[in-house]
Amino acid sequence: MESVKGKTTYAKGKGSLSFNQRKGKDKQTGASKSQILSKYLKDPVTHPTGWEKLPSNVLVRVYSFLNFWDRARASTVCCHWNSVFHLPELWRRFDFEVTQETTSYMKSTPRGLVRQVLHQHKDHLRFVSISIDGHPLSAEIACDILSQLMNCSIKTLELMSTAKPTLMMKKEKFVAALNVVIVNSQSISSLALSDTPVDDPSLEVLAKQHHNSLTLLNMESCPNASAIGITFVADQCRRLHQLTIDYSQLSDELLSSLCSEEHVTLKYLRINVIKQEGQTETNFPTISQDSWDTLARHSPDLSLVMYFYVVNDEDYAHFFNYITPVTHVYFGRSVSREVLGRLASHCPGLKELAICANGHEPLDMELLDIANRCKGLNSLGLGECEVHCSAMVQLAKICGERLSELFIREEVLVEDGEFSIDEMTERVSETLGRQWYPESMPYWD
Amino acid sequence: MPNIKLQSSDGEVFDVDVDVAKQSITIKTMLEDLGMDEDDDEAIPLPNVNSAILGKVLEWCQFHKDDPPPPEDEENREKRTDDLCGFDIDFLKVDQGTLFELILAANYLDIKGLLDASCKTVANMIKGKTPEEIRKTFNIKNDFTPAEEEQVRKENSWCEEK
Repeated sequence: MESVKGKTTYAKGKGSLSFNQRKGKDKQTGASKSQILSKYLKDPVTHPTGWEKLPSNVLVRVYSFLNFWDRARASTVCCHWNSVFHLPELWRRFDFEVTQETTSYMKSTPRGLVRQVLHQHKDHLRFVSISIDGHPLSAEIACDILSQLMNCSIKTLELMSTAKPTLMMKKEKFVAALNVVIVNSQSISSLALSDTPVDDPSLEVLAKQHHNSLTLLNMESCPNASAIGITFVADQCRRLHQLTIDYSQLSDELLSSLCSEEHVTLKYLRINVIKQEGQTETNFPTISQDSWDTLARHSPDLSLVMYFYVVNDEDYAHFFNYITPVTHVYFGRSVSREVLGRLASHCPGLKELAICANGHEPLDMELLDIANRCKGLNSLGLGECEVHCSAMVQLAKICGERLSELFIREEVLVEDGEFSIDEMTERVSETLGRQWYPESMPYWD
Repeated sequence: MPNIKLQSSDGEVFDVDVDVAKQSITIKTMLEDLGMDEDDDEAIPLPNVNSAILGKVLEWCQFHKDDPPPPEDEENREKRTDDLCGFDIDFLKVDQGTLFELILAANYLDIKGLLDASCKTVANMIKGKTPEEIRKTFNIKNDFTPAEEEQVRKENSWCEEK
């Protein structure tokens, strides 16, 4: 069959106009209708009947809607269905699930299938993910899989662990296995290594080998990777535009590398502010106002996302003391009114704010302050944070329809002299221009 | 809207709204190559599709004529089979011969939405079945040699594990 893709397309509804234009053109080329039509009729009209003759491209599509278990069973039905099962396009993406029965109820990828992938389809892999549970054996198997991914053309590699805080794997073994992939792959564009013991020397190899292709790097909770290692990557990989790191890995130097003239503008920078368990002192770096300003100038459309998992005011003391170009802020633990006050004063670009908890007093003033000063705020979520109903009405008035997401739990709303919850709900809906309700928790009797 | 004429393999001519017919990329490209006008009386021959199937296909195209164009990014698309719309589910409740011919027609005419919907229907008929059950469902002959069958069975024995 003739390939008919990649031709000029016309907007719908302009049918007759485009027809006339085309007609004029074709008259010039002089191709006769029958000549053109014959192109489409070249294939003899053979209707192979019987499902065992289903065209390969169609069967590929059918397989693409099946999981590997169903695909494998279907592949043993007949020769044609088996040959299609092995076509490269069905092995571009593979997600290895490595779990142990004792530590996880998730189904592990069968060993036979892992073997099949590694022996027959390694060359076809482009997108690989490996997820493991907390069992040391799973970590070991994950390393084994990694170390066999040599001479592949992997573009995307993602490692995930359901065991926090870090993968239960031996550093030396993991680093050796990861280096096999990094050294042997042609051009990795996306690498997610959260919760792994990846270290600076590995990052250096990565930066040298893949500086032309790397666009995404996730280094969340990698205790062996330092600010220096990540800065080296940022320096070399100038197409890198999505980066996730812990705040302890941030530095003025890193921001300066990311903002160099040769570096593409950043799209996404996520910074997790985490204090490791048992850690009493934080080793949080101080970032200069100049660095934040440079970042804002270099990448004006950046989504700068900050997650906070700290509680103490001393830990929060590092943040929002001057203009910070943060756009999305999530407070995963409780946060003080002072911090929210600084957020209002110094984060004019804030678009999204989520607060899981605060102290005991309602947050009315702070939220209204943020709504007033952060003109782009369009999304607000509140967990266990008390707010008065009249403050909610005011908040909705300030933000109006730009507030496209408003999530607040009913039980934290405090009725006051002015509004009951029902009255408030009605008023807020009016100002937002859509029907809105606070979230209510279902009761289970 | 201007109409065009399509002629099935058994000679029947269908008068169709251009925008409905153009959901077939094959027809769309043909029209562009031919530079056809709406007042053209000549019918476009579709020798690979008989009238019964072409009628069905055009019924599908008529219902879906206002659908947004399908997304380009195939690789990262979620592979769901439980998202067929009510019309498609009823539309594809047909005997297997018709389903098979619809698939071939959707493939030849390059109508991605119809091809996806019918392939999902086939996928749903395969899900959870043993190889023998699949053969029975689709009336497929096991054409492996005994040696091949043993090899294939061994290779895929993992899928029988609990």
